[in-house]
Amino acid sequence: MEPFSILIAGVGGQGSLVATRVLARAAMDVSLSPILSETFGASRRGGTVFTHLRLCRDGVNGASPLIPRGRVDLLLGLEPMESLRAAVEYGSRRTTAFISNLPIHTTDTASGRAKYPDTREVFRLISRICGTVYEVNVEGLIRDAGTLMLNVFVLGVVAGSGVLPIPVQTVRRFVQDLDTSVGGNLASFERGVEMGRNLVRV
Amino acid sequence: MSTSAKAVQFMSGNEAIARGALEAGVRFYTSYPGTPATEIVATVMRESSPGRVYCEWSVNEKVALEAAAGASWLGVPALCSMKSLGLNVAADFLLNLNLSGSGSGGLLIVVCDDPRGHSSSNEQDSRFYARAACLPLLEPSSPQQAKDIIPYALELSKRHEVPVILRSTTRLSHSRSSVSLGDLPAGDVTVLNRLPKGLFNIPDPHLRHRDLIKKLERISVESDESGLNREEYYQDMDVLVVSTGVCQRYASEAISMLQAGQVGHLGLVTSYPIPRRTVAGAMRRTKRVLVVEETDSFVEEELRTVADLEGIDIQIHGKRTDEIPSWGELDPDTVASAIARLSGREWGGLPDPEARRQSESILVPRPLTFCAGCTHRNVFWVLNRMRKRRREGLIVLGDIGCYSLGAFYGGAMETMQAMGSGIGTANGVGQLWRFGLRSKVIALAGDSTFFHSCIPALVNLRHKDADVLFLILDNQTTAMTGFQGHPGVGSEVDGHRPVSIERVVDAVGADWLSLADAENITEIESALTGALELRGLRVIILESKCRLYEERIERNHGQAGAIVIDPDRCKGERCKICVSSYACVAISWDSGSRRPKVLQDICVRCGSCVGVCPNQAIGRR
Repeated sequence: MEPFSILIAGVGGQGSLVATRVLARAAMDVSLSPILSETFGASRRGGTVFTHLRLCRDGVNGASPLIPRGRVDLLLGLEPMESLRAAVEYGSRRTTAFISNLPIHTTDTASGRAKYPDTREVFRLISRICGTVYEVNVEGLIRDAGTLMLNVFVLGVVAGSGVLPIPVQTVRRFVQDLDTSVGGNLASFERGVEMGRNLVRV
Repeated sequence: MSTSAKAVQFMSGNEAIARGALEAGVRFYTSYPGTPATEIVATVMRESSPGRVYCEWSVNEKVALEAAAGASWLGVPALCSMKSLGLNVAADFLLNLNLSGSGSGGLLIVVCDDPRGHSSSNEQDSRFYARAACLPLLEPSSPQQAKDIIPYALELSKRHEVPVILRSTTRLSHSRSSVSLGDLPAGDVTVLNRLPKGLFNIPDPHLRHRDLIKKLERISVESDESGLNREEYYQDMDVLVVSTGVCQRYASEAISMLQAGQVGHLGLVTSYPIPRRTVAGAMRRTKRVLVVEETDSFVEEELRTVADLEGIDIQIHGKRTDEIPSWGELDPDTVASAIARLSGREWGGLPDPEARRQSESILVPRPLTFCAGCTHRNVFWVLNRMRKRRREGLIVLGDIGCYSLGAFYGGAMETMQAMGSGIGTANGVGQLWRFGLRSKVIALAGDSTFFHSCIPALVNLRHKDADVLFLILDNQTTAMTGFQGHPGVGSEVDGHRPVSIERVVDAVGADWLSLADAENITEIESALTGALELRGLRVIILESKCRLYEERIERNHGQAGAIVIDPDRCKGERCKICVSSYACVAISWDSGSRRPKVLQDICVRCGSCVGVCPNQAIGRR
């Protein structure tokens, strides 16, 4: 049986690895076998970070740690342009995408040497490639909880929407574990779950 | 980790290798940090019971391998891990140790290659060292297999008294999956009191070579019988895929995506010496083989040789026939399309090509950059400014570490090859004044790189009286790989006594040596300006502390007052030096107010940018 394949796209420092590991642990708890592929290096220095997570129902030995192109079931986008980059490379009509609407500038777009693409255009193109696209409005969260909680918030939205093969309460338990080092994760996750239950697609 | 087995753990390939070594009873671990290999020894340091194992970050890979061999000679099972390029450093010793033998303890060398060079300056295939050194090579395909194969590898090493090379790649080292654990042994290790006889290859290295080749022939037979290689054959196979390492999983996925029932698969784990009977038997079952491996055509060449020797009439496809790319990283799609072409199946491209094309036209790259407040940025900013202002040129020879990002910072750093090659090549460039070179010559390296391989080059500079300014960017840790210690850093817990960079440089006999605070741009600039006026071997140690280390480990930044920009003094669009030329990631352009602004949740409040603003608009609250 083909694995359920999740791609997390973001920028180094956004905590995509943390979000993915939470999902992987929760998956194990419901007897799915996760395979996770991480790229380090860029994660520390503001580069593009794609993390591949595959949830296998029948053992882990055969599946590749890299998702084949076009076979992403769920795209979890922590940044609009990086989500488009991921959609171009890995997305298709079978992909459901949840994407934060907060752009993060590159060093070149911050200084004016290059232009960050128009966000409307970014979402329009993602919708042409992926089957279902949800724009996740993160403004309220950023205002109240800062940028550090964006990863668990988007995770909450995804969990609340019901697309994951893992129940919300299982994901919640593993988000809760994060609060032992830095507080506030669970609260932002819950806020995301609430939003996820009432999402309207783009 | 406790001594009893825990059922299942979610582990990376590197963690699984570490666990496998602990389960196999390896007691001596050495390494030099390097992506994607670092977490092997880091895991052992974290997970082993105190006092049970010896573990070190050695000064470089050659010393690491020599230390591990010393332990193995005296009966202590040892493991030495490193990244691909590290094996180049250790190779001189390796190509002697293979003939001398590794003694009764057992010695595993784990080398982690980086196809595509995600975190490396090349994408070398280190397997050629197995052939060059006539040593057995294993390539596991998953974290579980990586763990399970270690006891086999250690026994193989003990039995034949040769080092065994275990080769991983980024996608194995850095992918995680569930691993069923075994028990940790309780027994003790017996250290021999005498070295085994004959630990030198003179006067007849050629006879040692002969004996090693005989051992390899025996190991090839053992590999045939090992049961480690996965064999899936069918009647009338269209194609037989032969894969190694993590490519075994790309091939399985590709075969299943193509629903290609008549495609066989031989997943090789014992890839050198090639298990001759196994591969000959497999090749006799088909007319076509496709070899899937990273990065070079290593197994492919071995198969051609076996086919030739055994008189097997077969087409062998792979990199040499352009079915599989000879460079870059593989993935399931590349493998699927190669199998499809060979077996006459359909394999289409992605849908919506027009939307993808349009998307690519608006995407802009996201280059890596120095962290907020990183002091390397300060040094490069000063170098860029001096280069613009000075009439004679400035040549900056670079090295390997976080500061390598200087190559992307307005081209501030102009070269980057092996560890220590900045100051190494300065031995050439710094002599060219005699042929009329007018440019000033600067070499730079970090603290860990200094100890790793800069010292012989520094000695040569002094001895040959080259004209070079050497900058040592000392941030007191091996930052790029996650804050491992190095000889410049002491530790009471570990009994490590710090070696002073300043005293080493002084003892070599630099003509001029000074220290400068890398947080202070004015101080860096005046130290460099002064040093460039002089001739001979000049050294500046730029002292700082890694910001990430401060933030993650010491958690002590942010005590000082916040950095703010005075909008009235700021010249906005007309200047933009702080945001576009200095470009600290904590300073962003606010298009509303048309002024730069400090991102307070990223800023580490070092205040380095204060000295960058020509209008004194940046200050501390």
